[in-house]
Amino acid sequence: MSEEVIKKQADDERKWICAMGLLALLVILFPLACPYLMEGGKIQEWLVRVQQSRLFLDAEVLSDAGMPFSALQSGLFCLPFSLIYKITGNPVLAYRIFMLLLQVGTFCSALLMFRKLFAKEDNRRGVFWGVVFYITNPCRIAVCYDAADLALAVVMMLVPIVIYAVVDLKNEMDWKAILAGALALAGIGYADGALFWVVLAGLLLVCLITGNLRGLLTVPPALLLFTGGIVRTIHYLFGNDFLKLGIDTQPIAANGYYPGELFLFFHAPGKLPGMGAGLFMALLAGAWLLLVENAHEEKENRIFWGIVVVGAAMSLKYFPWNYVEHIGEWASRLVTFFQTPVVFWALAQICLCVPAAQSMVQMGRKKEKIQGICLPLLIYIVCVALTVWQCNTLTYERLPLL
Amino acid sequence: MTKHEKILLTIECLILLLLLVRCFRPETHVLSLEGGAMTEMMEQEDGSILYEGESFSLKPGVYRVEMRSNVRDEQKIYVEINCERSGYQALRGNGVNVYPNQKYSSFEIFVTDKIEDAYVTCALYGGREELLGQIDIYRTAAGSRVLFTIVLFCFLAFDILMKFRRRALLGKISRKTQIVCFSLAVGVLLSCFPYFTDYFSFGADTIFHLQRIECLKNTLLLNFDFPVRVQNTWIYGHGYMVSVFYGDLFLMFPALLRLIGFPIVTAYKIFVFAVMALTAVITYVSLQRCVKNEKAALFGALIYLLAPYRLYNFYNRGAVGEYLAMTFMPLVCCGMYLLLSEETDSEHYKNYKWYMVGGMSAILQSHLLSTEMTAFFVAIVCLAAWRRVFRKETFIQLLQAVGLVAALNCWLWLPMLCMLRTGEFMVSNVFESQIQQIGIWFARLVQWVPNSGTTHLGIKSADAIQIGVAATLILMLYGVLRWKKEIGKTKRELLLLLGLTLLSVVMSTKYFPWDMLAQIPGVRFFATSLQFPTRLMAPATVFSSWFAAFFILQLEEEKREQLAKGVFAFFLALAVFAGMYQVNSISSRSVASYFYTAENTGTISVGNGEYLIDGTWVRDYFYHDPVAEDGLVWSDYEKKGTDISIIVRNTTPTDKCLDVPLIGYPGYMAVGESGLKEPYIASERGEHEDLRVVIPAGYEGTISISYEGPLIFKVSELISAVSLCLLFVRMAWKGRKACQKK
Repeated sequence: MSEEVIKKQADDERKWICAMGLLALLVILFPLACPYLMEGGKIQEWLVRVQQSRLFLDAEVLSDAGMPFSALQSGLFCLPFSLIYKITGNPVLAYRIFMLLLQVGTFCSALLMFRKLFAKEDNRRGVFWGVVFYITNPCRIAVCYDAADLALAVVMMLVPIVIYAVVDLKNEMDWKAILAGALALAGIGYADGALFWVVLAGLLLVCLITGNLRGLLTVPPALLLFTGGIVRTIHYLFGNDFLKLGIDTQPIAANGYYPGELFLFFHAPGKLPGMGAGLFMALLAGAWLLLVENAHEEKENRIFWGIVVVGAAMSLKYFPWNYVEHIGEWASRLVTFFQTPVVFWALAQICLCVPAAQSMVQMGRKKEKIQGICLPLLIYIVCVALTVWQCNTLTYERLPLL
Repeated sequence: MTKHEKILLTIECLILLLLLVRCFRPETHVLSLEGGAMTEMMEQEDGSILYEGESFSLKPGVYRVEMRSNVRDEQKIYVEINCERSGYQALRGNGVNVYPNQKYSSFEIFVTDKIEDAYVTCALYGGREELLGQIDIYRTAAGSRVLFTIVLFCFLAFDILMKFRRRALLGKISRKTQIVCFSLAVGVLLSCFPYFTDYFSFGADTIFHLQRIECLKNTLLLNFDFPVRVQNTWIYGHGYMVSVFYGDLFLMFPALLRLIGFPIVTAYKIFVFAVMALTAVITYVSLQRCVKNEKAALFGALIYLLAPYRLYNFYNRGAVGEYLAMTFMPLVCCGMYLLLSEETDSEHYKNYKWYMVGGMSAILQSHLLSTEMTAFFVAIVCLAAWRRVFRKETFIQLLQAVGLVAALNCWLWLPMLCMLRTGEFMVSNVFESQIQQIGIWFARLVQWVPNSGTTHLGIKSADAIQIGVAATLILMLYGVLRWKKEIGKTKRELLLLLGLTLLSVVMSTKYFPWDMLAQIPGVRFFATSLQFPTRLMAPATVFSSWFAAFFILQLEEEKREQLAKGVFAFFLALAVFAGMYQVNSISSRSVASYFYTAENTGTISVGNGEYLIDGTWVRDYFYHDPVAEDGLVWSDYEKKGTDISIIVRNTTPTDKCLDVPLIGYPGYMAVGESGLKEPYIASERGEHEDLRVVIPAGYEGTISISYEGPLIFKVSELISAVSLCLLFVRMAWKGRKACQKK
């Protein structure tokens, strides 16, 4: 084949990949077409923060507003939208802009992360699959819309940037990566202070296990930026502020998953969200390639699999949270602020997308049409179709709030 | 015909003959029950007293239950036939209310298996057993007629299938045609899925249309009227002029099934099936005529057949008029396309207008508002293709089409216009509403999962008012391919269809300035008469499915076979899956009603009562005898639908008025005995707009009152009849000429 033909094919592929990626982003935005705020989940909390337009809310305010479990979350990401709300008086507009930026931001952060991970050949395909799997992930969509846990949604937007920074620093010293990682980490802290410590602990462990000590360079500036949050965390975990919230420490295991629920194909209203059919099919394809066709497995995938296994284990009903609570009152309080172990599975989703994308890249290299073209196309269609269904069912079932 | 076919046909004819003989059996009296012989059982929670009669056995068949009663004001009886032990659903019938002053009532029950212990129950409200007169049960021949009809259709279907199979095996039917027939059959079966049950689920307007069918059947039976103008048993026997404003032609089919003896719901389900099948055939044939490509025509036909808005009209709304009109819209598209695209000197050019004539006539007979929308879009197309429209032959053909539609349907539209012009009807008020706020939100256009909703407003639990995910994505794909210059220059018809689809979709939303248009004199009527903008989804569905067909055609003409195959396979699968999802959603969410007895619905399901005289309400009406002024004596009163016969005596020296229980619509005639001064219909009406007859002083004799219709009705019927006769004569003459040429 001549160079021109190869170049044209590559160009065509790039255009198709862009179009399909944008289509996946477009379907995520369907609920924004609603002319009202949908009730349900934690949307009221977001509204309170937008209306209050403060960085941190007092314990009394949190208690009165019925959001004591969100004490370690800040209103940093709500401040610009508070401004929009105060200027226009239209909370629906503020929400739409917030959600649009959140989804586009998640798309871009995932793009950044997967471009770093798939920096070698087949860059485009790996990036495409990673981004599509992540943005159409039922867990992530459930967090954004069904549960309306917008703090967690922001965390899920920033985690890919942290991963990008760590991966980049493994290869070389890059001040931009350090800055990005630090900002993202601090951002996670301001979004949800409880999850900051989880992500930090994960980052430390991963860097130590993989010997990527440069990755740890993101931590000090992040801690510095998150000073306010750290002080607040200390007050709530070790001080008396927790008591002002008027809540008791409580176990969270009961809200977790049964093992089978982790593999649910879609998110039905009122149920826990699973990994989704697309991701499941991709992982199954990867398992086939590995076990049946003895395909080469990337070593880096093992660390991602490790994070997934830990996240899955922590999200199960059977995880021994009561032993964690024995560490001390502060641990009990921290666990209380997690509210539900589902957050760990949600955080693990980004890592799950990496081996899934890898397997789709390997599948795409197959010469047979069914394996090389039809199966990947089917998986893409399944991802998008289930996303459409999830978004449509949401707008169909939810009453208007405002 | 082969030897086997002859034997089979002979056996079938013999069986049908045997069954036909049974159809003419006279009614047999099964049971007579006096009210006094019924046993008081208990007082129920709602204050009624329950009476029960002795048990009796019933063989399989259709039974007519007649009741004579003495129910007065503030009293009511609820009569029902029940049974203790029987096979599954052996007794299929519902109870019926007997209202104050309703001396006689009759209803049907259907027995599918032998019942040993059936019994009559009567719940009496406001009285004791003196309310009950007599109950008589008759076994009719309706069951035999139903059996005959079912066997006849089964034999016909079997014979057609066998013939089709033989011709296919002999190679006389191409593989493509076989695939088309099979695919359309599957599409029809899939779209009828919610009605393949032994129960029924009501749409919003279903009861109104079921009553139209039932009252049409009663009017044909009792009054032998054709065309029917006032349907007789509506509104406690007062009659309702629905047939003047809402074409009944296609409802003759389910009314005929009712006359044969099918239960009302079965007749309706058969009607729905027939409409679905007709839609599939008409759409495919119309598209095939235009695109001349089986694949593209099948693609468009299936997308149209399974369109969410169509299925929503059938099952969620029960909008009989609208879904009937949607059946014929493709004919109009076909006619317009052929007249504008074909060369005027082509051999069959003058025949193309008949698609327009047939389509527009059928739409006019089905639904007036759909006619309005169709005419609007025909006008838009004519404007867009004005160069072609003003070709001499094309212009002549279009004018002829308009003239033919007007002449052939004069019997419907002229009386309707005359009645509307009187301004006496409630329907004028319905046209005053502002409609913009009940358009759909933009979010509904991306609500691609076609759930069976419970409201057409808002987004939560909203109905599937959309062109469908397949049609939407085809439009988007086209946009992407054009933008990337992956396909060549767009054909004009494709561009026009795209424009019309987008226009009609936008017009169905709340963003289109309907309220502003309603301020413009002359436009106001058309802007508000639609009642809700979502009706524009009907033409949007038609245009988008035609766009899909022409898109496939363009891909094939540009030799993009792989892409055409991919688009065909993928989007067809998407349309089928979406259709399956929707019918499943409809079936699982709808409420099951075991409804068999038409009389159970009463007589007052008139919806908004658009065709009542302005100022009256349905609740004003009740059963009553004629009301005479002092000095006027009447006797031997007989009422058969809208026909009344009564003997009156006016002993006073002045004219006196008699109000009869009929709504005073224009067109009633009163005929007295010859040789006497004629009674006449008064210009003013009685209480709650009852018909008032003036009895001249000294008149003594019989008066017959019946609905004849104003003179303009007769003139319009004559025009239509003459036009139809001339048409037949011309067709016969042309056919003869063609035979002679051969």
